[in-house]
Amino acid sequence: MEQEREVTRAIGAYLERVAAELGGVPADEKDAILQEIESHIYDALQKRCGKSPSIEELDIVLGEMDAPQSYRRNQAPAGIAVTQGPRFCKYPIVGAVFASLSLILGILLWVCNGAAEEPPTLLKYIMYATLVPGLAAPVVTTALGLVGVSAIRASRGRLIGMPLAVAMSLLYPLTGLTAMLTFGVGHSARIFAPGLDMPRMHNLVTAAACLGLVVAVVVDIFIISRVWRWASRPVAPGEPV
Amino acid sequence: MNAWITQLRKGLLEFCVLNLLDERENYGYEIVQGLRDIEVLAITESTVYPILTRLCRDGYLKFRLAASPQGPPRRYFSLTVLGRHRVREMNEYWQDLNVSIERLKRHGP
Repeated sequence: MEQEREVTRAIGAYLERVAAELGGVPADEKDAILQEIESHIYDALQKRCGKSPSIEELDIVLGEMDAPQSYRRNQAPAGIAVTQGPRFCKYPIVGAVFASLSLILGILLWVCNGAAEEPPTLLKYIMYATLVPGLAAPVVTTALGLVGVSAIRASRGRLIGMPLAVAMSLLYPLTGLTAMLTFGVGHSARIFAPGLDMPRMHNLVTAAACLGLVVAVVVDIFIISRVWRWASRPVAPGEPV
Repeated sequence: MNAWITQLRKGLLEFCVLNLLDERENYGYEIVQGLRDIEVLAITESTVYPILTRLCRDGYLKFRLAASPQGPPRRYFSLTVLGRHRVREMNEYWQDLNVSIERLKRHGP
């Protein structure tokens, strides 16, 4: 027990000397380094003598390790650029803002068209404010999504946000494709059964539209998976992004 | 000569640590022992542990804690996605550098 306390005290003293040499290092990094060194000492003791090491065995382990002064000498010299961690790519975020404004505009137009009375002034102002970005959203969001995908691939891990970039680049094209397939298949049912009465024609068109929707969803999933596989694979040297 | 070797070793340290962890995750003591086996590099714990901390801070490494028989919990380090990109880039550059240096030695500039 006394021997264990002595060993713990001696390890603490060594770590304090190392801490003094790591003067300029930020506190959280210093703590991480000291924890690693402490872990190293115990692993070395474990390897040498198993449980209950003696102070003599600790002295041997510490003698084989670097002196505390080495930690001051081995700090990165001033002037070496510190690399940043990964950042979120801004292009798909701006694209998402345009898509949101388009959604707001769509909802407001639907609400105002369905209302019997004149819409409130505030709603009208919001509609005017979102009109231009809302109408531009299909082009702008898609373009920014594609630019985002390209930028993230070219950054080789420095930029993140590929899921959002792929989503923005595919949002409007796939929405258009889904709408085309759903309504196209639905209305093409009229060609195949021209003589049906109205209720049956309506049911046929609805059933055909549902079929068109299912086909559209399958096609969408296929396109999304292919695009995601291409976008998320690493860029080979010299490959255009 | 010693000064040149020291500078070269400093430049290679991150490269060695990332390559070691590219194969599998590992904890501090084993990382130091693995790098110590490369005698010409003369890498010791006072160079490795600050590098491990910096690489974590910069997003190239992540770690998980696991209990150890004695002392504080061990940190098992592994590469992040950014770290894998980085080590791939470093290895490609190292290969190009090797080829270029060999060509220089054989034929001149």
